Amino acid sequence: MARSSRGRAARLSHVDASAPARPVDAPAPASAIAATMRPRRFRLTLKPAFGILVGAALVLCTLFPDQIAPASPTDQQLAERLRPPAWMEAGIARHLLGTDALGRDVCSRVIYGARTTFLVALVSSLIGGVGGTALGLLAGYYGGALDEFVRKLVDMQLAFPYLLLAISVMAIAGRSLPILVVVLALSSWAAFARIVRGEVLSLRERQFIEGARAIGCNDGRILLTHVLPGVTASLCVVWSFDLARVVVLESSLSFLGLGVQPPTPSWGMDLSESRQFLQIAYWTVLFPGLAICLVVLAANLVGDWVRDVLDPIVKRNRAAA
Amino acid sequence: MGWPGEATRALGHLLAVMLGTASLVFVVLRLTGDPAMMVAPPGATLDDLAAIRRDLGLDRSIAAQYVEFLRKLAVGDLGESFRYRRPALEIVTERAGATVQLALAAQLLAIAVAIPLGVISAIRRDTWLDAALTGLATLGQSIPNFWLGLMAIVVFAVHLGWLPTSGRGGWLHLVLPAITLSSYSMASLTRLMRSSVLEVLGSDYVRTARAKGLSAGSVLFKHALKNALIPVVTLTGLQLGVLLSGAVIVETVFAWPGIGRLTIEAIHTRDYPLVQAGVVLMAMLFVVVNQGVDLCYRWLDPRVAGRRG
Repeated sequence: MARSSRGRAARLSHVDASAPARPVDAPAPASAIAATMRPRRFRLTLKPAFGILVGAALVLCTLFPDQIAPASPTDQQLAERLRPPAWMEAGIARHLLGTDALGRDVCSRVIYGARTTFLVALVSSLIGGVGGTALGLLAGYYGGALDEFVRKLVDMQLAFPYLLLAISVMAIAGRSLPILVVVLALSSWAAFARIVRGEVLSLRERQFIEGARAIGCNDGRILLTHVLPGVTASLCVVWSFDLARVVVLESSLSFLGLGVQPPTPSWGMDLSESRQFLQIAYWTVLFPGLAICLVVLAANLVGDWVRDVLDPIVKRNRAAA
Repeated sequence: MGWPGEATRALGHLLAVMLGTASLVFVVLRLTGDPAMMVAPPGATLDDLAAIRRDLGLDRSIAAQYVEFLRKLAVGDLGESFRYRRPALEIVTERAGATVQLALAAQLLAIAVAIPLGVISAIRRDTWLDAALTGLATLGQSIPNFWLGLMAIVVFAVHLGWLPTSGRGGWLHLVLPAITLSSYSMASLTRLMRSSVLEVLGSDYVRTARAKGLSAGSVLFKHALKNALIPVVTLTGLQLGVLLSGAVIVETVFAWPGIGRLTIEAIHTRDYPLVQAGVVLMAMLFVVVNQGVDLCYRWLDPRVAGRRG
């Protein structure tokens, strides 16, 4: 019994629902966990395919922007300023997506901007995710005053218009990349903590946890090797939605001039810089924004898909909203 | 607990959250930098700085400063705007109407569009219509509102010339900002409404209603819809934070003269008292309305009181 939940849950999934020989301690949750742990089919449908495609493009742009981008993102050619994309009348092939007001290649800026967005979002949501998961584990496992405290904190954080707080911190503490990452990470933890806490609450009552305790595992070991594996599936879902959210928050802050600062290329900042030329050069705004949308959409779709695969029966309304 | 008890409890909670918010603002303002440095003109000497600190009461202990901050906050004193030379709170309050108008319009629009769409999507489940609506909703959740706003300006104001690009005036000025601000809420509400209706339609009492021979329309409108709306009401309340955050951005995009744009402008002109007043007022606005929604909700659905807490 002290083995991981995976083996037992898998066995349970083959038990006929009407069979009387069902373990008393594990009614509905066991089948839910079985569904969580063992997706029956792994079909590559449109949603994950799109996610993988965009994800791969992001990783490539992050690792090899010099090889992919046609020009330097900061190279200014004032003679070429505000040139439309290649397929328009005045467009030239060298600037596929046109140039911005300083004569920088829009395509190259979008490619280099991917690195900023991707790294900032990845690091912040990882920090926030680890912190939130740890808090959720502890709160769910120990309960009591700690649980109460974490729950109140989560409620407050999730309900509060966080952008306001982010705005004041960035405005006052200064606009540097490390501060931006901290601000974004602080926006991430609550969703993780809430989901993990909820899962741990039901996991800790299960027999394999009791068994682990009976053979003398200490709390740390139980949490890390027995409870944590049970919540990884939900973590994947939360994480994909959180990545989407962090990308939007980062680009929003950059758009307001409070996020990534020049000369680091960033999609949000490009939007903000090109805004005043919106009426005469829409492409300077169109493409960085499209890039943001694609990444957010991809992360959302992957999140949707993972959730559907892991949890085909239970509709999680809250996560959908 | 009875209704008066609930109200007292909610009021206590309201005060606690307001105190928490104000304290948070204090911490952010005091611990992230020296306010004297922000106030000081360029080229100020150390003596000037010391004088400013004394002026602002920064030479006292943090605890004393905190008490002073709360005392001033309680009487609505959030300092004087550097730029306008007037009490910051007064300036911010003048702009509150515009923000509330925009947020309200967006929320109403989201509800008016999302509920029918969600219902249609649910009763036409697994058809092309459902797929299209769900896809549209996913898209709506993924497009950042500042970009949507900019693109809306390009299409509807610049190219088609149907609507004004920015500013506040007649109701035509409200159309683009309200649609932009509502996009995310609209998408989430549509998805929630769809799954909520599906869930209710699968429940026993709906089966009973069908079994006794009621028409599909009657089952849907007289029986299912009421219960399906409960989670939607909850989300509407929860989305207020998203809406207010969004308002900051949408106001900036459309030059809508609300608190959000004022605060962002104040940041760029380093008018910190005004920033503080803007953030505090928005937070308070949020907390008050949120608690109001919560109270209404408990009244609408008495089961909630037992389920929460």
